[in-house]
Amino acid sequence: MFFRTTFYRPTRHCLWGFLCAIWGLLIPAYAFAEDVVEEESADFEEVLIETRSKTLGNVEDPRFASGFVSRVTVGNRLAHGQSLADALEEVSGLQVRRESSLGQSAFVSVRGGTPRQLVVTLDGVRISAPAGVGFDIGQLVTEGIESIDVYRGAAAAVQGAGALTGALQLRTHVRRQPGWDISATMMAGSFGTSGGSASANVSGERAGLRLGVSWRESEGDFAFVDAQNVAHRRINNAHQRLGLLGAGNWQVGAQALALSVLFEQGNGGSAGMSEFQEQFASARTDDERVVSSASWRSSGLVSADWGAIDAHAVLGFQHRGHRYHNEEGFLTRERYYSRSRYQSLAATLGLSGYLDRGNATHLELEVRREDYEGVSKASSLEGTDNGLTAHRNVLAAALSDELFLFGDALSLIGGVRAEAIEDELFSALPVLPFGGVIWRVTPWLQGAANVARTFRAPDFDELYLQTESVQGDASLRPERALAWDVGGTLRAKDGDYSVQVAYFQQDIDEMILFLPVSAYLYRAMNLEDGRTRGVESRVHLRPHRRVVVDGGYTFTRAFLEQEVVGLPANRSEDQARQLPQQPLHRARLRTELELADLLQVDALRSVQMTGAAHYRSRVNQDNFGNLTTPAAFTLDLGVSLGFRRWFTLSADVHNVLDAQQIQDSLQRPLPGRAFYVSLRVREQS
Amino acid sequence: MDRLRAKCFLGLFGVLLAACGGEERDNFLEPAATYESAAVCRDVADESAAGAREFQVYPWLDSIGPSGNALAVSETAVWIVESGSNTVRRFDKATGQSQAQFIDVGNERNPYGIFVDEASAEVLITNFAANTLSVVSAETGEVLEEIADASLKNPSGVVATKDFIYVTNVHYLGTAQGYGPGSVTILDRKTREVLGNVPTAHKNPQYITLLDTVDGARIVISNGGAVRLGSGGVVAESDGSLELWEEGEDPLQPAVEVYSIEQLVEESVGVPGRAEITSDGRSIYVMSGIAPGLLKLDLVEKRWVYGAERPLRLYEAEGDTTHSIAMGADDLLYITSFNQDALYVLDTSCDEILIGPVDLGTTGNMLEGPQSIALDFRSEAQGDFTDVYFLMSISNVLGKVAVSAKQ
Repeated sequence: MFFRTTFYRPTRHCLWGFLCAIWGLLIPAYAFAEDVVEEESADFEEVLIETRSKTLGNVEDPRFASGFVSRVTVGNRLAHGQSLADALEEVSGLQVRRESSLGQSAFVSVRGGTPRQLVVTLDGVRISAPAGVGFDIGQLVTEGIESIDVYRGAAAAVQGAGALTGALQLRTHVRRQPGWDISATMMAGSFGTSGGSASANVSGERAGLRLGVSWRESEGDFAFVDAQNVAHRRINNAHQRLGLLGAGNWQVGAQALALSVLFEQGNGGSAGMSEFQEQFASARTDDERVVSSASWRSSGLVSADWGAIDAHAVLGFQHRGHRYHNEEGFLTRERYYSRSRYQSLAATLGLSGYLDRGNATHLELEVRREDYEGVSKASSLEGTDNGLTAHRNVLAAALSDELFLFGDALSLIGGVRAEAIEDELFSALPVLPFGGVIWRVTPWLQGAANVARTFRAPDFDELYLQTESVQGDASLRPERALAWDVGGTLRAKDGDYSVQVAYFQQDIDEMILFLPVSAYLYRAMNLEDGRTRGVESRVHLRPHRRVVVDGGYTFTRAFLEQEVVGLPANRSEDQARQLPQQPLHRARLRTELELADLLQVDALRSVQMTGAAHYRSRVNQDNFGNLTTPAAFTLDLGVSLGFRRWFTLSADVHNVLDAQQIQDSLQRPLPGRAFYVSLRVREQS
Repeated sequence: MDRLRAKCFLGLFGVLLAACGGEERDNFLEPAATYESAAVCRDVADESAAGAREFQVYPWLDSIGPSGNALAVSETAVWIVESGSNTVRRFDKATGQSQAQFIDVGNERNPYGIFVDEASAEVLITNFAANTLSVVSAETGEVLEEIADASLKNPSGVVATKDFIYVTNVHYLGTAQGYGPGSVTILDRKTREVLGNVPTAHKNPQYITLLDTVDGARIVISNGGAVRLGSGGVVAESDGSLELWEEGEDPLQPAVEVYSIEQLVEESVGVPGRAEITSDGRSIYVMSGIAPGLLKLDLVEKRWVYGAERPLRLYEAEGDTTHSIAMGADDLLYITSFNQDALYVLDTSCDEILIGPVDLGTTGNMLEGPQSIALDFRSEAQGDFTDVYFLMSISNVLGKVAVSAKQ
């Protein structure tokens, strides 16, 4: 289904009022329904339902417990034709921008920010490079990544400079209970997609080991309808990707050691603008990434009547290489290539002290070295490559404290993180205070509020890139933001019902964008102050033991503080000022139905049906709100059959309504209807 | 509890009522700014003719497609070439309504230049990347024919006389090799057959216009010469010229006059853009494509009054600048400055700036990039207006400046 929607002011107010009404009705209805839930809870124990639900949960980062952090489980996304981008689309407050079909680039922004204003870590090791347009979440392998913690707004302050609007913390997982399990998945689907993964987990009393491998490939080409209602075929979307993961842990008393190595390598086509596909028919990328980490954790390093002190340390290394080339560049008609290499080495040491009288203190020190080398040959006019080599050293210290009051009903959190950032021509000493409060009104109602100063040093390309047509500016000022949010969570005791609503606002000073300064040249520059504000909400319901419903709605206003003149009266200035790639409205609804106990078939362990609907309003494609991509609605359906204890067969249909006119970023069409089937075997001790 | 539910319901109903209220607003446009100019040429007695004007700026008439490149004004409409979406938008002057994607020339075309002849209900569009010429119905937007010919090499400018179509070929070989020899492909207007190809005096014939000179009708070709984009900006690498063709019986044998710019003397000026002429047919003006310098050719004396070595500087600027020009019926020359989002008006009777810079943008400090300009004259009976249409290639907007005699 495809909508071309225009939200005039009265309509938007009406929609806003409608949503308020829905939420308003849900909240008392939810509260009143608690008794009923308790009555049904006895049945849950009788029927064991194994769900594949990617139910989101809130998690607390102990350094900033009041911050809004959601955990999304990644699980076996590959089996359902999904990437990490699909997992993140389930989080309210996030916007995912996709370039094409499965396996192609996708970028995430948080609460109206840009993809650059996001930090990504894997097991505590920062893997987002300070260069490029942001972290590409679409190409990352999913095997071995168990969950993603999504830090939104002020909560991201603990992740340090770079996390101006948010952070993603990817986590791998090693079995901790004694025993073993092995699993293998094979999948195939539309657009010539196929893949497989296998993993083995073995764990004893004191040690565990996980090995995993995944492979995915796709031709990726698909039919689409362009803005002129002409049918075309999207070409050059093929990709191949290999992922390997090895992880282990070792526990000796209160000491725990963990090691992990993730390797991924891929290559594929890189489709360009859909109106000029032939010009990008031979564009290719290939890349590799190695991330390794070693961590040590000691629980009760010091333990006494007054409390205890825990300690942890992480040593991480990353290598990332990326190459692009196009035999005949768009209109330039000559070979264009670029390559980049990024390496980082980081060490973190942390102490956590817990006082018996209700106090938790966290101290963290981090040192990081980043090396970046990029080469692009945008033009052969002068016969030389445009090279960029940069290094950055970061030293950081953070201290935070959580004070528990009134029998833990109230928590006050305060902290500060200071960093020394230095590279060749840029240096900064940001001091980032943060604070928050948690009010646990009742066991089922909790409120939280946060405020933080966040910071982003200009990326290497924003500072130093020098090509004929794109140039950085070494005199750029860093981005600074004041982020605050307030929200509440209603949660039933058994976790079957929860509702969370939060208001957020971020005032961003010195926003950095690459903007044209002439007909031939783009240059990085500081702009007027940026503002993002909105409401994010999430609801999780289990109205019946066989039904799970997850939904979310996000309203985001993201704009620069500048006047827009000359618009006609019926054209919204708000819409004109909305930053590119940021829809005002996003909503999703996912339902899951488990029918195994109804069918009474011995061999069937589970019969699960899922349906997921996504809606986003139109998005601006330029900084002036004149080029827009229409609103889009998609519906996905899936069924999984679990046979015995070890065998699962799944079938998924994405974009059931076959909307072929959906575009994401400018002239980047997205696939229509797609089918995926998978077979998964799993055995465990 | 029922009472609480009732209160909730009533309260939320009130919220809905308030939120859904409000009045529908219309598409009424008011000028964002009004400028006034005083006469600058003292020797002209008639004050109104000399430049006492009012300029009402409407920076947003309509959104347009990506990479707007060229404008044309016809009797009823403004035609906007949207190179990034391979489309042409038709903006109805009377109603202010647009027909988006009125013409779809097809993917991979990169439409560049446009010539509209409403009398014959024909629109001609050059497709830079596809090396073709599209012939389109002005009434329906349907592509009647797409002409491909070996002589078409990055076709750019296009005009048509009563009998022939002239298409300039930029012949861009790529950033490494630069430009090949420029040429003009000539087609029969009726049969649309390619009659032949005539080389131009210099490379990069980007623009072609039909002008009424003191010597009669001429086809004027602006040869920009080879240009190079480097770390120091855009510089001219070979000479450029204005070429005046007099159409004869054999269209492949026009009488040609070539006026070299000698832009290599000062390689940061030159690269002439579209040519415009004064109402007496004596003076042709072209703006440098890379600097804020105006060049002027005297057709009676057959010489450059302002050449590349001594251009008429509009303003001081560092780095590359691009401009588009159009001549008003009252011999006021309208010049857009890409890097300034601005309009300058030059009174050609004394070559003095009447007014400028006039801000054309909708925002304060983000470049919007006026790429092309076209004029629409309304008769004295209608109030002696000149509508200056401009397209912003970065902000993707069609705007207008309404010019009238100051009351």
